[in-house]
Amino acid sequence: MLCKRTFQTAAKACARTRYTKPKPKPQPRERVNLPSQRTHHDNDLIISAPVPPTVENIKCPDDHPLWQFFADKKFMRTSEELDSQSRSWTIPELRRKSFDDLHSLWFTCLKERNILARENHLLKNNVEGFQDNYQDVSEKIRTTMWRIRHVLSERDWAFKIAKEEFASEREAFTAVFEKEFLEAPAEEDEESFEKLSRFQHSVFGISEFIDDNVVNRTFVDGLKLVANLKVRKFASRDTTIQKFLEETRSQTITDAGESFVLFTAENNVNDIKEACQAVEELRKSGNSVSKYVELDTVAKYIRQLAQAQTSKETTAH
Amino acid sequence: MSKTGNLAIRKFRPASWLQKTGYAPQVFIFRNLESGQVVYSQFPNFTPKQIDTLFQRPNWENKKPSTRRDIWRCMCVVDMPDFESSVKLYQNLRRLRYLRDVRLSKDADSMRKKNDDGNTWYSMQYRPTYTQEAVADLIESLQKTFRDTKDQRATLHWEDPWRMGDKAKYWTPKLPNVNHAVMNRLGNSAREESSLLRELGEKAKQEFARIREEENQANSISL
Repeated sequence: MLCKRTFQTAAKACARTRYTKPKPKPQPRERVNLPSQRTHHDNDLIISAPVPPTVENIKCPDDHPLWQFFADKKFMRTSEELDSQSRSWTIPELRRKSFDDLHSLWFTCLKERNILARENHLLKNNVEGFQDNYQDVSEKIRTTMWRIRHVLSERDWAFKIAKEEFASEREAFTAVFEKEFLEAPAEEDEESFEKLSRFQHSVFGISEFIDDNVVNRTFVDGLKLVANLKVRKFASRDTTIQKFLEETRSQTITDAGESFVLFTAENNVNDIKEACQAVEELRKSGNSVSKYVELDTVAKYIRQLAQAQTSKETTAH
Repeated sequence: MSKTGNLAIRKFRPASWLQKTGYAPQVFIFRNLESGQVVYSQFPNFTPKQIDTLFQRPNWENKKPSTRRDIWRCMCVVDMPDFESSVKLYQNLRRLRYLRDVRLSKDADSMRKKNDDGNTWYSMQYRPTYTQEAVADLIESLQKTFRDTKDQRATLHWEDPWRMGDKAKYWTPKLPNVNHAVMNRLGNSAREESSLLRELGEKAKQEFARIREEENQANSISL
């Protein structure tokens, strides 16, 4: 009763003068909706010093590709560890190496120069050294590298010049080879057929591996020549083949399909005889390959042969 | 991001709301690539409202960061055992930020690395101390949160294990039951961040459901 301006009896009239029974406590409720937010932040939180990041948690794998820029996983090699007494490869030394050797040597040099460049950079910028140890070794390797290029360029020029010169001598060379090949006795067959395979590879680019071959005019010409050589080689030894050769017009096989059959036959009398029979059957049935579609047809045959070979290999496995 | 941001996540949300809406019991920590400042969030994204509440005393060293999406990257995702504890962790983190910025700003400043001029060390606009403080705060708040929870296992998915600090020195002695994992960084993880976080959320939800299931089964067994 905070009213000030009232009758003085008002407060007394409102006051409780009699004992009243207090109300009973309410029953605990069954369905209580708890507040949706019941958590609160802790009141004893302490601020602590910042936690610095660390590399301790990171494990570098041993086969990380960037290790290729380090020698033996060292930050920098000391001058004793560096091979400063060595010299560059000389040109005569490099001339004796095969292309694969030079190729691997080139990449070894390149990797080593990358390592040296890294170390040199650190020496000049981070350690503030003035020595030229790394630079000197790197220069030696650079010399090796230009010499490798020089040797390869020599070979390239030699190959180009030989190719140009050989164009004029090709027919004479082929004639000499043919003569030697046909006159060789039967005992030297193995050797002479090895020679033939080398000859066909070097002059016509016919590889023993079917997949490597590219069918072009030179290839088809070579195919025909080899087929003719094979027939003539065995004609003197077998009458059937001799007869086949005589029946052929001007005693030369000019059809690409026939050449292909003879070319794929094995190098012995029986197989060549079978091939000749197959060619005769082709002629009887009138199957011949026109000169205009020679390349496409031979390419198709080669593809079929390669497929047959791969399927044979897979079934064998 | 618009001025108001995503309306659904603009407010503080209690555990029941998070569960009902399909969030996982997680807390997300984002860092600013430009300034190194850190934002805590209950959701896999955040709004300008959260920046306003987290940066209560902006000054020249601790400016209110912009909401440019390209300079914010998720630094850590904390998988908590239940929704209540995840909310509490968030509250603790926010409280610690308030203490550092407002109530105990001098203490916090004394612990920072200084440059020659006596200011907080910086390079251009970047101050590494804010991220480092966030890691310290995370340790502290996890410790305090775990006092009230039954299950004390949590998984922390770090963007970079480098930033979490020395595990043996700072983490294992104080929080032995916490697992540390590294987020998947294959491919363009910055561009794919939202889907990465969603994937983490899905996994955390499944884990939460699995644990609840196990508990129910254990309770239903009568001995």
